[in-house]
Amino acid sequence: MTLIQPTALWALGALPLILLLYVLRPRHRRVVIPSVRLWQHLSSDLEGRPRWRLPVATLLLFLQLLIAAVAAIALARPALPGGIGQHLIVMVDTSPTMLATDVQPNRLALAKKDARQIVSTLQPDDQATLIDVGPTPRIVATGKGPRALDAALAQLKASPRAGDMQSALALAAQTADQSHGTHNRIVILSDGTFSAPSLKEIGPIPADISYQQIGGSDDNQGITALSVRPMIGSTNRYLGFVQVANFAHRDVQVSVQATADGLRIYNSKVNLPARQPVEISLSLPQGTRLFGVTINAADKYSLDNHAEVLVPTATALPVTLVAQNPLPWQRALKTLPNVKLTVVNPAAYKPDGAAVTIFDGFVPTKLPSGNLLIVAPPAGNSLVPVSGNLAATTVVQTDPSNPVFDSADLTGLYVKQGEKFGAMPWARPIAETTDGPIMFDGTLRGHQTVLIGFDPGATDWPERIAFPIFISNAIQSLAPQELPTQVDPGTALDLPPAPHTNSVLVQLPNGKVDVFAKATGPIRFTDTSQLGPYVVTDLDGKTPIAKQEFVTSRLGISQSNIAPQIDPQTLAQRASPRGDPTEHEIWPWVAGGILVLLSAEWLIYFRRLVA
Amino acid sequence: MPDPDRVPLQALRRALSFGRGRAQRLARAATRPATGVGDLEPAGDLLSESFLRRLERLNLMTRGQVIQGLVGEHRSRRHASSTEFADFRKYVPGDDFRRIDWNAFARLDGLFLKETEANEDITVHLLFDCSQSMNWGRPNKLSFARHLTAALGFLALARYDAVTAVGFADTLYDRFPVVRGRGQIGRLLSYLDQAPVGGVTRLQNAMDQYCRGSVSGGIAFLISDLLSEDDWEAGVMRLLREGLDVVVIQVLAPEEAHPRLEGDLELVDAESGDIVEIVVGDQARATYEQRVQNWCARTAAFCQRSEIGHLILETDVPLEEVFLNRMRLRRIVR
Repeated sequence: MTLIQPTALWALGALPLILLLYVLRPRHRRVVIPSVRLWQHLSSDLEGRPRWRLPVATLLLFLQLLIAAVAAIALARPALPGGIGQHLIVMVDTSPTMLATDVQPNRLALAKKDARQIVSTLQPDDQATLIDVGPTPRIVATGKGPRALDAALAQLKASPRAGDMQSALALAAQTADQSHGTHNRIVILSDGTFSAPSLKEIGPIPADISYQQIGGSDDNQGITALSVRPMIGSTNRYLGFVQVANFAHRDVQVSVQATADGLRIYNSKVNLPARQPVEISLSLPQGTRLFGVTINAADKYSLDNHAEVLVPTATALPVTLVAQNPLPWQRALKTLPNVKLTVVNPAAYKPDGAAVTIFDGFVPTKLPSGNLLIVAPPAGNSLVPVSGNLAATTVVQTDPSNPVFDSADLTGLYVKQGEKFGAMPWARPIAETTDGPIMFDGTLRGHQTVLIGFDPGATDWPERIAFPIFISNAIQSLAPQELPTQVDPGTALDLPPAPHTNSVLVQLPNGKVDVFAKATGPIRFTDTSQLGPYVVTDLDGKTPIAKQEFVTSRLGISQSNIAPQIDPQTLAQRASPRGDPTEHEIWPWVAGGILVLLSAEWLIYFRRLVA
Repeated sequence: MPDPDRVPLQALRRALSFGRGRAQRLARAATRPATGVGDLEPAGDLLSESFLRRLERLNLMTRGQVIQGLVGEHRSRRHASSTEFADFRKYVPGDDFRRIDWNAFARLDGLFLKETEANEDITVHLLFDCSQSMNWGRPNKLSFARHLTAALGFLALARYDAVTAVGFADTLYDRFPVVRGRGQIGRLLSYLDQAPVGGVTRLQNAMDQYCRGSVSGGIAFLISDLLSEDDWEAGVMRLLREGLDVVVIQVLAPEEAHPRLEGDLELVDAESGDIVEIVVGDQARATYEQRVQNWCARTAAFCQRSEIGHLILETDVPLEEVFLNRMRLRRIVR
């Protein structure tokens, strides 16, 4: 037996103190009696008694000394020797390939079972940590004893994307580094479908590392690429391209079916040579929105046997131009694809649903729903405070980080007459002249706005190549953002709500609908783990005002290759500190003994009282 | 024709609040914290109906001469001329020869006087100690003294004797006036209940003070623990000098006679506040108990020498036992 806190044995000093209390004459208990006459001079030894006496050996004294001694020992934390303390860090790969069924029921289930078995060998005082090796590795459980990780292992699920083993090892190294006095073991349970991490980059890992291969089959055929592109010479006909790869080491034949908006357009058996891809191109029917491909393969990994892709639609961007002299603007806007331009005389302008409205020398009293490009607003308008004029000046600086100036340099532009503006808290200057700012951007009353403080027609700017580029940049910047049509599973998306959106509905491939309330900025959507099409609908009250779609597909060679890619030896190392012997503290038992002794003392004292 | 002074027992019981049994009260008292101080019960509480019936049949006995007063129902120890035969005794010169029993002379050829008992009126003086030392013990000595006083008072009033009472410590407290008749028992009990408690016992001083008042003879019951700062014997002698027939009832608490104290103690005198530090063990207790016995023996010897009735009572002795046995044995009642 050892004492973990031997300095606490100083408490044994209480023993002589107790004896001293017995040696010194104790304070007498006061008892009121009718008369002390018959008690006086009762015994000669009471006369001139010294202030001390030899302690009388009583059971109470013995018990009190025993309690003090045992309490001091308990404070010293007596412990019985145990084994070497361990810290077991279990890393379970949760990449999608861990759902391969080359082992029963699948690799992930087997890894969890193996992990439970490894942890069950721990002693009660040994520490255990579970790391989920997903795209963002994290510690999901930590605890002591052989059952510390059971609950967390039961909850462990496959991630939508491949795990980041390098980061996971770094996390494990950090965890091991924080353990002191323990023998650290890192056990990696994975199918090895990742490139070998660099242990050198991580730095020294104070742990023994062992790698346990889960599964190992390469028997998989999957769709590794799927795309559509317009046919040459046509804007509304598309070709679909499919790449099917065989990762097995033998030739196989698979059945490939393709659908266009759910209607089968192709069904054929395809011979796939060992470890080779095969590409198929298909002509999609006109108006196809969703192109899907399915292969029927007797392989061990089914997640890559189906993929879908959205056919891009040429959506027109409505732009309204409100100007007395629209010609320079029209020339520039004509060059932009998908822009549906409407030109309106300022006198006849009524707010419409245009995505972008250009006001040249005019500001309406009521704004449209879309974003704004305001040019040379007249003095006294109700929207932007024009406080005066700038004399002839030159643009000396533009904000290079602003996308409107991408390849559109305005420096050196001579402006014969510009406008000065009063305080505009919403606006940020993006172009400066020698006399002050002349162009701004910002959010004006909920509308993304670019403000130009001079008339371009009065300068030579429209004659420069920078003008149409600037217009293109401005329209793109002010146009509502669109979602990508295809994303990887597990990708977080920022959904930009259309103006006047009260709520956003996202319908998942399985039919479930996520509802998001109106937010000031984009809505972050992370529930993209399912494969298939997602439909995003912006609602104004209960009225749909915008609809976008995207598809999640697991495509790519690295996503479908379920064969181990690493040599287990590259991960093995023995670098753990030896670890200190553990000790099983027995102070709770000692404390229990104190309680028993205290009960005995109380019982004896009480009996003496009632006797 | 019912005597208007004779109160029916039921009514008396109601007046005295007889609602609880003594055993129950004693049991309750036994569960109280053992401070030994201040556990007083109303004086009438322990007088049960059956006990009162028995008390009614008892008579107080006097030793000395009854001086004056109305003719009561009290049975005196002094033989007098009346119709109720008591005893014979030989004629001695000076006797009233009219009381010679000539029938006995004819039969026995000797002069004998036929003695008869005198039904006399006496005044019963109930002097009970209310000092702080009496307010101690379990059962409480003062409670016991008040119960005893109440029973004696009832006994006397039931015989149509005059009764007066007074509590004392170093001096006399308010005196209960001389009353007569059973109807006064309620007043007596009320007086006993309201009697003050506390003070230092100075029995000689108190008795001097009592005797300076109008003491008309009779029998005086002095109920006290006799733990007096001054000479209690002188106080008793003062009563005797006033022609009173004195009965000293010495009250002891059981813990006083047989203390259960043990260990290092600081004994505090309830009256004087004097402190004695002591380690009490078996030997000390034995010595103390011997001292108590000696003290009681000295008290008894004094009373015997002075022809004074004397009774030592521990407070756990039932009143029935006191009156029906111990007082009869000592010829205090009959």
